[in-house]
Amino acid sequence: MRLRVVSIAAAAVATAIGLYMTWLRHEGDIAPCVAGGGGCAKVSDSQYAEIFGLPVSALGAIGGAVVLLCAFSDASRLRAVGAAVAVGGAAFSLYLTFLELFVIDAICQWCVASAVCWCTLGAVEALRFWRLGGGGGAAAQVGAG
Amino acid sequence: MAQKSTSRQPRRGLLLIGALGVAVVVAVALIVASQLSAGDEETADDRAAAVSAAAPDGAPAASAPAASTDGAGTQPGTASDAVASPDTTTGAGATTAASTLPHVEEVQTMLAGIPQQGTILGDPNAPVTIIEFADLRCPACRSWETGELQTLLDGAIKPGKARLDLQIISILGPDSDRAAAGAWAAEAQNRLWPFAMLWYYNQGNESDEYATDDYQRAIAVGAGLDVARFDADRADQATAAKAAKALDDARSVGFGGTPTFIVTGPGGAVPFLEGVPTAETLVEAVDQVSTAAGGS
Repeated sequence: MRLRVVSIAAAAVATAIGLYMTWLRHEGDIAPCVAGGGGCAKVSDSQYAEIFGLPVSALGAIGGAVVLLCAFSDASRLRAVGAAVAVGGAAFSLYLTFLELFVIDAICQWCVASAVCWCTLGAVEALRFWRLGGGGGAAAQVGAG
Repeated sequence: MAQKSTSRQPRRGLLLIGALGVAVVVAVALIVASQLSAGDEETADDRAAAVSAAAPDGAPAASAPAASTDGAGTQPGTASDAVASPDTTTGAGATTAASTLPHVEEVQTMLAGIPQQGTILGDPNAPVTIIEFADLRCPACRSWETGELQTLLDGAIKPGKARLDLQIISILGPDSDRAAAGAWAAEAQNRLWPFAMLWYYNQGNESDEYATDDYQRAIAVGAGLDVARFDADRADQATAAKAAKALDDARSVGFGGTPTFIVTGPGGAVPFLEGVPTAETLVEAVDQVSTAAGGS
């Protein structure tokens, strides 16, 4: 239950950040770095901010929403989907963080916050999937009992 | 009961492997797509390399546009004047042949027909002034100038509702100091706007110190500057004093970063000291302060 709460919270934050950054991009605004500096602007202006015209932040919002929906479900398949998207998203977030550190040479606070959420989601969703059982978990065991 | 539990095991394993497989595929696909997509786009390093390639060789004066040494460069003009009269320094059109710098034509088109004098772009008698504080090395400024400026030009500057006053300041270290000196040297020849716009379109990587003499001369040639005079002005203390005064002005209004905008007119002033407004927001602010009763 605690894991589910963590998962829902992290997915909600990741979705919110993705939506906010996508909205800023759509409005033509530049992401403000809360603690100052120009890292957010540099990252959002980089060639890695979009994938064939689709903002990476939009991908984050969509992925976060998918994990959020799956986190509410006990169905094994949805749980598998949630875990897959969360782990895949976490890996992609780590890749983006690597780009920020070693390619773009700038750190965006929003991206870091999003990466933390995705890594949390990846770990928690994988753990949930593993612990509760991919085949139905507690519900299956109750049924079996 | 035991049979049911054991029958779940293979399914559980399959789901686990399947989920892991999907995760790997999702991550790899996104990373590959990101790399492919990024490979198609121009990077800051690409831009800096293009400027280096366009940098004039040898003595800078030899690379200057032919007709720009007689003091005419201090007179205001428009880019369209230049196309019509290539024997004046007011024309970026005269520089087309002299410069291989990327985006020269783009900047010419953007600024064509708009009066330029000193730091001012637009009708000098326009009732509203939009003051912009910017650093040439600031990526956010680049985003704004290459993404938003055209909308502002169409919505407020070209119709004569407002004039745009560009104050180049240095807030990003010694390389920004050199960049600001270049900008104010360009201002002395009434070429600040093409110089700044060409700089932004060809901006290098913020983490590199790229505002070298060669880089600046390449921009200067593209902007139609008298390069010998540009070099002399960059080293002049009076030029440094202009940049310092602009920074003092920015600080006195409490700017929170670059770019910062302040819209002033008969109806008052609307400052944008935190965050970056869109061009539409600035046009709305222009309308708001354009009459004595309309401002805050």
